[in-house]
Amino acid sequence: MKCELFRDLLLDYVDGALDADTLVDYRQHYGSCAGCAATQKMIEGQEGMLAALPHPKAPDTLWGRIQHEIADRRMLTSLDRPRLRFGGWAAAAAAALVAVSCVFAVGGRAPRREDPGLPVHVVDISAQPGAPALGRMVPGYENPVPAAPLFDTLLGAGK
Amino acid sequence: MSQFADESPEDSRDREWALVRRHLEGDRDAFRALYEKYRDKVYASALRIVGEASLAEDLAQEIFVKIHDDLRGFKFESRFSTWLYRIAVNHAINKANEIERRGRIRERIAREQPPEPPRGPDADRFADDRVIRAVGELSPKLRAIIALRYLEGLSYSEIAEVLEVSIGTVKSRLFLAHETLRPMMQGLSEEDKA
Repeated sequence: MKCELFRDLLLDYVDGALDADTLVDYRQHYGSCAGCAATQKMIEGQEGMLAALPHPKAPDTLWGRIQHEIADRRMLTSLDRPRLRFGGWAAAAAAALVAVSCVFAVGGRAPRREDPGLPVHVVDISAQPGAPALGRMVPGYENPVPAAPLFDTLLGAGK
Repeated sequence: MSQFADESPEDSRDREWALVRRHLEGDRDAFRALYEKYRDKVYASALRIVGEASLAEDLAQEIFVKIHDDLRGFKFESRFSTWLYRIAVNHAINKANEIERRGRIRERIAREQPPEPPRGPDADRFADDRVIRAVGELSPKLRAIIALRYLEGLSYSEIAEVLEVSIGTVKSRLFLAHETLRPMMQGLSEEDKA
């Protein structure tokens, strides 16, 4: 057996995990190599001292600290939840508002594409039923009758 | 005979799994039972790795709170103790590395002048202090392996499972730890005195 293999097997030897055949070779090398024998003694000595070190006990205050920390975390989590919910609703409401604004913006802009040649559906607007018309609105392009441009229509309605 | 020897760890595993299940069902006493079983082991390992009592207490608190939070992710594939040691040791190594970076441990050790060797009943405690100081000189990874082996008494295969490395890596790290301790522990063991 060479020194390198002896050192590979050393911890298994100290652990009592070597099989009988390997143990014979191992002991033979131990008897003939002073360096490896010294290494084994060093490890055995250290193992004894390390295993004999006092096992420190956890302080009695530890459980209380853990309980406080867990309780604090629970409280923070419960406070965070409504904020998240509110945040979610606010985001949804904002998104809806933006969507509605876009629809109105597009819808409102469409009649301003003033093209006298387009068929425009014109509706009279009055303050009360039966009262004189104050103006006209142009909600769509379904009316087959050609109409004047919107601006002219509104100005003309007041005359 | 080995059958009986094998039964006990299985029973222990099943008992701990049952406690984890009870905890997940909302039984607060179950977590307390797990804590009581491992409080000293977690604290002692933390102390060996970070080297200072107040830091070890902070660390043990953080480790148990993390375990409490992470138990929902426990997969019932390994022993609870393996899972717990993995969290504890990784957390402690990270903390020790952070402290090392700030140079606190080495500065503290350098500040402490080695006292004169006492005689009589204090001699054993003095030797222990020197051993503890020597372990404190190791890197956090080597300290962790010393703690798992000699404080927790884990086998090489259990250490390999905790650290998620091969058994060969465990042995080579342990051998390196012993070689590093050699000059610092010279003259302390009975073998050296002989």
